[in-house]
Amino acid sequence: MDPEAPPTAGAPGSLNGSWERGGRSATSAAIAGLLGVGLVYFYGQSFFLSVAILLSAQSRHIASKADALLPTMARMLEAMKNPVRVSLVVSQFLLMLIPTVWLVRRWHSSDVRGYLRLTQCSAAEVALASSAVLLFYPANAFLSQFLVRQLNIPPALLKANEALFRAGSGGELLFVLVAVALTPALCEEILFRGYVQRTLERTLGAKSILATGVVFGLYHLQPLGLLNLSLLGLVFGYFFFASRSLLPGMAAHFTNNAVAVLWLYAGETPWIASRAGGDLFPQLVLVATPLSACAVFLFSIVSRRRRLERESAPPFLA
Amino acid sequence: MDAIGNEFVCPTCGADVVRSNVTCPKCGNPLEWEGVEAGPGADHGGISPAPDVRPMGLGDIFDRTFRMFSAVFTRSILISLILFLPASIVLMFGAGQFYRSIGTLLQTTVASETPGPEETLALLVSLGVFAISFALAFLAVIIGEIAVTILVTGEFHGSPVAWKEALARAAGVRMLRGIGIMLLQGLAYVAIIAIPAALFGVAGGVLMVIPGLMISSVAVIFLLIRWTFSLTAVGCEDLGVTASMHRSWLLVRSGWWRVLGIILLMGLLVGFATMLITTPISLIAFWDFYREYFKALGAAGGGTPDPAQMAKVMSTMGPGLGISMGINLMISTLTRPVYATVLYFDLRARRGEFVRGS
Repeated sequence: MDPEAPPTAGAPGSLNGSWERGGRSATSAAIAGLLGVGLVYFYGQSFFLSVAILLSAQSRHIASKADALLPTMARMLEAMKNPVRVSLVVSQFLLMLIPTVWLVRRWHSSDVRGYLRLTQCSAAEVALASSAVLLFYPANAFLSQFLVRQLNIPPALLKANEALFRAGSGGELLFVLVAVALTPALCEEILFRGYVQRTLERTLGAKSILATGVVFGLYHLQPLGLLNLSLLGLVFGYFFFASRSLLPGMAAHFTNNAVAVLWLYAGETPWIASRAGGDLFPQLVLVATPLSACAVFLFSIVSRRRRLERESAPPFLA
Repeated sequence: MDAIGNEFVCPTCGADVVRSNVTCPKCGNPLEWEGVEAGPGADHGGISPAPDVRPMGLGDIFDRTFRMFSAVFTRSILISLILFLPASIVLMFGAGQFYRSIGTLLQTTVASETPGPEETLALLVSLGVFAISFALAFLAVIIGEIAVTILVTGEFHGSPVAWKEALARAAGVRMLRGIGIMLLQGLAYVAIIAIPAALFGVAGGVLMVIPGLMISSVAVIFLLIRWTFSLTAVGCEDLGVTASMHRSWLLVRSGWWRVLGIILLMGLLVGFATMLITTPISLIAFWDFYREYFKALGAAGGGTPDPAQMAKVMSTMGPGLGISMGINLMISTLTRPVYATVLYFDLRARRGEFVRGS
């Protein structure tokens, strides 16, 4: 099917949105959508965070105590962690997921699920995508630590920043997993892979993986994590492109974030592991990274078979 | 036909028309222009052939902007690099000198010594160097904006302009007009802010300065939008200083709120994109500064870092600031003229400047 072909109004799976009817470029839609949703999300999240901070009497009490900078900051982050987690969940669903779905429906197609490729995939694809990311985690953590060491960031500052991801009990662990693993896996994947990559793919083909991966890295506004996040974005994008389904990428995204939370819950921080673990960590990287590449390779074999099956299905979903 | 700047009057109904109108937008009467061949392909504003542009909705403006951005991307990047690479180096040097002088001055103060005339003079000299480097960067912005406008205008007319030609055209008399516009508008804004604030202040004391400033701000915002296409008119139609300002004034007249909304939205979107791009670049630019800062913070055990060490940290800030400013100006020069020119053509289309026949 020619993606830029005139839409068949009302038919399921057709490009019948206002942007498509106007014959406008898909690349322009992807960029405008990405920037528009990003603008709403970042400013909205800042607003929610400000409200959370203002409402938190505990943090005001801590801030008013005269003490050294880092201990005060650590105590404030600890006191603020739950309002921040709640504002993160609310803003991701309200200001990222809903605007994305609205954009797809208004600009592109009434078949939102079909456009976003919220389609089924095999258990093998989900398992391989999750395994690949799980095995890539040591390399990812190693890279971050390398940059952190280069910049002389004090360990106390790193530890203070971990408050958002650290859980002290089983119940809190569940809450943290929902806030920092499940929510971004759903909302960010729908925006980045489901909308941006899917729309760019119509004009750029496989190059859309690279473009969206880099944008995914930049979007987090964490310059030290740019390389890691972009690499992860590329991997998630490949899963989406190869399987023609959002689910493997979502599973992989959830796995990556959940591992970070569970690692902290187990009492080990990546920083401590690099110092106290001595030579273990580089060895783990050397063993796990090739295994991760193998998992991606196996994924490509499994998804190729399934993609061929799907491509014989309605062309819009392909 | 009468001419006031670029504005003419229809001989039949007396409505305002412009040189590129084939028919009067009000009465539909065919217009004849001296020295200009009527019909498609005629010269309209110095670049031929005449563009086929219709009034655009918001979605079309976005779409056109992105298409134009892609069409002129390589050429505008080349122009930006030629202009902003030297400008950034000069800014790096200027900002570096300035912050080193501040660092030295702070270190002297921390050591409980009174800064000598040599240190004060060094600070003043470095401030002068920083101001000169900033003025040079500002000049690069004017040339860059006009050059990119020329490139986009060429695309609208279906006659792409080479980057060398755009740069040559922008760096000549158009640059002087751009400076003239900036100076004239700058003076107007300063006068609008200063005069009412002073009058209110004299009449009612210091507290009355605030309402005076508020009224002035509204007036400045109004003028900013009415004159927002002045530089675009220089690049697009090669108009003079006052004619460009007049042209912008007339184009925005019937849609001030719409122009404000689109300019704000585009500015926010471009600002957000710029933030995404410049955040990692800033880390690299400020790498030495962050390293020194975190070192000082670590050495203080998380407490307040030693002031002497912080003064040393301050002196590492300049080059990063120079690079960061250069890149921000470069991105702004690559993007702002593109959406401004698209909106300019939309406003011209709305005035019926490209309509042929009734």
